[in-house]
Amino acid sequence: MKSSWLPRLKPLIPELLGLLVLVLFPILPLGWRALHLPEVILFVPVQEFLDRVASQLPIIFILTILALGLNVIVGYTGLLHLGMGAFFGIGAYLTGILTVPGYPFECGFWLALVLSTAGAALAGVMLGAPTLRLRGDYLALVTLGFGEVVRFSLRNLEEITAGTRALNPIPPPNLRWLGLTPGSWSDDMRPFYYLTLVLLVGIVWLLRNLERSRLGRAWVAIREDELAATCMGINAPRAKLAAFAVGSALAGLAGSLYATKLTTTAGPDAYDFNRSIIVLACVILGGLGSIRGVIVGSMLLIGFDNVFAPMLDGVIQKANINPTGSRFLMFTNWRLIIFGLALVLMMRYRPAGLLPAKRGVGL
Amino acid sequence: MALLSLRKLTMRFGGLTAVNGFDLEVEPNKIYSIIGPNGAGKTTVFNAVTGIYSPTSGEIVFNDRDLRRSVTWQIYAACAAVALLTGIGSMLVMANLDTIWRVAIKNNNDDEARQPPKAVVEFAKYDSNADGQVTLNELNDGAALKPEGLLARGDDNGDGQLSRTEFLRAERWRFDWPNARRDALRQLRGEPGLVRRGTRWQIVPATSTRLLATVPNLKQALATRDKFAEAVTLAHRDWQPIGRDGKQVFLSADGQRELLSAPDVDSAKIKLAQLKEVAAEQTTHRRNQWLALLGGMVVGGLGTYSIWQRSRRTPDVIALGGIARTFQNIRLFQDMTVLENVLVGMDRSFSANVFGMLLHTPGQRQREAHQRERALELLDFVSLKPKQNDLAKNLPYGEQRRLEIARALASEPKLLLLDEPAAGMNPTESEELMHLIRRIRDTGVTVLLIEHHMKLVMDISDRIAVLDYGQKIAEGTPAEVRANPRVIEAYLGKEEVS
Amino acid sequence: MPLLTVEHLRAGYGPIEVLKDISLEVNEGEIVTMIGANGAGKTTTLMTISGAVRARAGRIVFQGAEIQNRPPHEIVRLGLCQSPEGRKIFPRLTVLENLELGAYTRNDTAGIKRDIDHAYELFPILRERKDQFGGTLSGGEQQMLAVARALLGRPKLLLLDEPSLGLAPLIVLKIFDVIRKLNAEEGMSVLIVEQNARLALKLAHRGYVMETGVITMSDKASSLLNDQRVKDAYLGE
Repeated sequence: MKSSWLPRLKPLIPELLGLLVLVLFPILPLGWRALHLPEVILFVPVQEFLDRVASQLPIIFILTILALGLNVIVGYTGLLHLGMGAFFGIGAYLTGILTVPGYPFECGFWLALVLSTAGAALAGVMLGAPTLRLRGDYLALVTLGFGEVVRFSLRNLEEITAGTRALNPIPPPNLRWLGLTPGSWSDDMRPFYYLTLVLLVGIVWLLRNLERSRLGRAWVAIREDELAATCMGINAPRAKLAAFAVGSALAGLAGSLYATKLTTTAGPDAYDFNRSIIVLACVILGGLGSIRGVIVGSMLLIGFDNVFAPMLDGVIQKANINPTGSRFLMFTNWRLIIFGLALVLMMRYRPAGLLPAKRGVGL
Repeated sequence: MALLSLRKLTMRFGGLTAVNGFDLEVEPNKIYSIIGPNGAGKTTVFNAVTGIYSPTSGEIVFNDRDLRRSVTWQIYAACAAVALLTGIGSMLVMANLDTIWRVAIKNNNDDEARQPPKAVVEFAKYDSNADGQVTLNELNDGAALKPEGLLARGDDNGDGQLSRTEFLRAERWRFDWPNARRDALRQLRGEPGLVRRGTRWQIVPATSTRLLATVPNLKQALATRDKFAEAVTLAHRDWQPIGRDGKQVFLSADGQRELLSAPDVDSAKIKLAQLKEVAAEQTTHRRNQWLALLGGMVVGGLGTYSIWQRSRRTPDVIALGGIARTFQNIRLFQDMTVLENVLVGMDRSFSANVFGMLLHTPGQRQREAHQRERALELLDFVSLKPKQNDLAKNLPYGEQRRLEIARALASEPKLLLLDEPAAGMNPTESEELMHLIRRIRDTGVTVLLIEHHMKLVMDISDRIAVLDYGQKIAEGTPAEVRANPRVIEAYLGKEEVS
Repeated sequence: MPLLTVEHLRAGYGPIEVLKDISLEVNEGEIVTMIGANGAGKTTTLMTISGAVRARAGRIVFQGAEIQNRPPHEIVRLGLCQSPEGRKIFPRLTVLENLELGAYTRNDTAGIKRDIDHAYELFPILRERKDQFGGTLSGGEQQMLAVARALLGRPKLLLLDEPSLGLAPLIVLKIFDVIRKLNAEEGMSVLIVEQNARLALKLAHRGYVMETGVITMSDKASSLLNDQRVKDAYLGE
């Protein structure tokens, strides 16, 4: 067995290369600056682009974790979930409540991360339990409603969640045991970059294992044919609850990281239906039930949303193409149209996603 | 002794009777067939046996048992836990969670209100050289509790000492939990609580927004609140003005304790009326709270229990009990590989070892490998081993049928139900299928079969039951059934089909 | 001139080529059967003719018009109707509505009504169940409904995919009787795919034998019935 690990790594080469790029990426903007390379090449503000990518990548990683969580519920188990933003919000707000000065807990980042994850998982089970018998469009409606209920609760539990004002400041993670002091934290994006990257990689590894375990098989079997699956002895309610728990836990974890990254919970509207849908779009674009697909999908969509669109706007402004400030010439206003277009094109040409799930290969 | 006994099995859907008083005794290690015209209720019998439907009346006994989820203490524990959760949840909603939080957590943790004075005094105590910074030495000298922890927690700029603001922030962990708990309970009981408004404090009953008093500082507020709390509990007593001090009239409930004061007798009366109203509200509030708790517990507990009761006889329990089946219109897991399909059948109940699955531990790996081996044996048994990595949906029809049988066998059943396994097979293929079914029987699995291929049925069955319009019209050996005129009339016809 | 001519047809799904080179003919007033093992491509042939699967190469000519790769609804309007395998009925419509949809391309209300009554006579159980949802029927009843629905289109050429699947012997005989009658009395041509090869060959005038995407034999049905190779491979015993 020992000697067989090298060939087993072979199909993972694209993943490992991608990981290497991500690990080395933060060197780029710093190196660019250190070597005094030109800031703008052919109208492309390279320096700004690299800085922006480096600062946005943690957010992309975080939203990828969220998408991976949704993938467990929608991709593996086939339960259409339109309220993932709510669990993201629950994670963020739990972290806020647990760490923000002004509340008595102030238990610090790490404990808050664990508790937010557990709390979101519990909320997921509580939503899942009464909806076990629902499928397809009915479940979609219930989860959609739940998402809105959470958002309005966040807004109206004024005393607990500070309403629309958001909870802040959320303190940075204590990384003193790595020799990093909180002071250096806000100037240097690298600690949080690597923190989120490590978490993402760890989660991918765990999910890969889970995917090939009997629980993973039970999920896919339920997606394919629930009745046949139960007739094979699978306890479908339990497997579904497990999917809800795992998915929501990942969403809570992502929410916790997100709030920490922004140092604020960013108000209830950051966790609305839009968030749920964009994450769902990431999953569908990448390929339902495919981990690498979901990663690529989120990188593309969120990268487009957070890096490319604002950058292009900056270029438009700098080049003085839009002196009157017309809204039609602002790229960010077009981004949802482009989102939709991308999805339509993909559904036409690659209905199973960019990197569809391959079952039974590379086990 | 019969392996499976159906006694007076009846299935009704709305007004339709699909199966009517069906009796069947299946002896172990035999092959049984159920035949009959289309729509006679054959598949419905299978669905009832495998727990997809529950019978309208009659009994299904397998191995002398009624296959059901067994009652364990965990069920009661789970019901109790859900009951507690829903009860407390509904009570909190009734009590207004938001207000409790405000009174118990936010007010108790208010920067200026409770902590700072104490903390400021303490800071001055530690800061012996009065340079606005306390070092670890100074903390030690001042006998601070856990000085290293305090320093580590508070030192935001990492200069090894605490400024005044850093000290205040670090002190926050001394949140007044006992007080907070008391405040929360007070809210739950509906007693007057404190609400901070700007620099002043208001005393407000938990049950309404009625303002009882406004006081300038916390100390006074706490005292006034306690007085009001007591006054409200005594509101139903006989109140008397007991004296006058300049401009104030004092009120007392039992002639001795002086509780409240008012500027004159009229306003004293108004205040009394107000207190009585608050007392009444408080009683209602408390009653509602208890009702909410009780109602929530009953709904949650009984709801969970009844849902569990209803789902005691589900397909998974029956599959674990030793009955496996195939479906009339093949229901494979289309997007899974052939091998995975069989593995799912083998998984039976998934164990609680989530961590093993997450971390892919060696034990887990070993078990997986073992399972895989068994699955390959089964695939070999139905001669599908070379196709183990194909997707199920890409198999031709006959092979899908065989895979479905392998998947059913994977759960190690004692009884295998086959629903029209030969449908869509040509004579050669049904011949092979016949051998396969015999081989399955020879491994000690009893087979119950629904089939329209008469050649197959007659050749293979030990006994045949004939259903028509949900009722058994004949039962016996193939020869007996073939000769039965009722069967010929209702089902077989005079001409031989195959 | 034959009613339907298929020349050098190729078709498949994704990377898999199911039909490699299929040529066949159905003449006016003829019953033709295709027999072959599972996975040989019989169903795919029917699906390609009726337009549900794209033809990759070759020609399909129906009544002198090329119909390869035209949309299914146009092909149905030309008078070529398929009863799909696997009981593809409308589960959320009643039995009656299912039947009426079978006559979607027709306009003669009286004729439709007569034909529906006729269908009920053929399959009395459908009359009993006429107000039930299709999805609540048993498997065999759904099969009867699918066949009855295809007949209601009054096609010039009927493609039947395993009409006997999951049916009681009595009903199988009845369906084959009906087909024979429709052919004899109204001249309807039929292309039938059937696992029960013996029965199909007894019914048909001509037969084709198919193996993994190619036609290997074609002859009069009666000669195929007596052919030793066919006997060994498809008829059993």
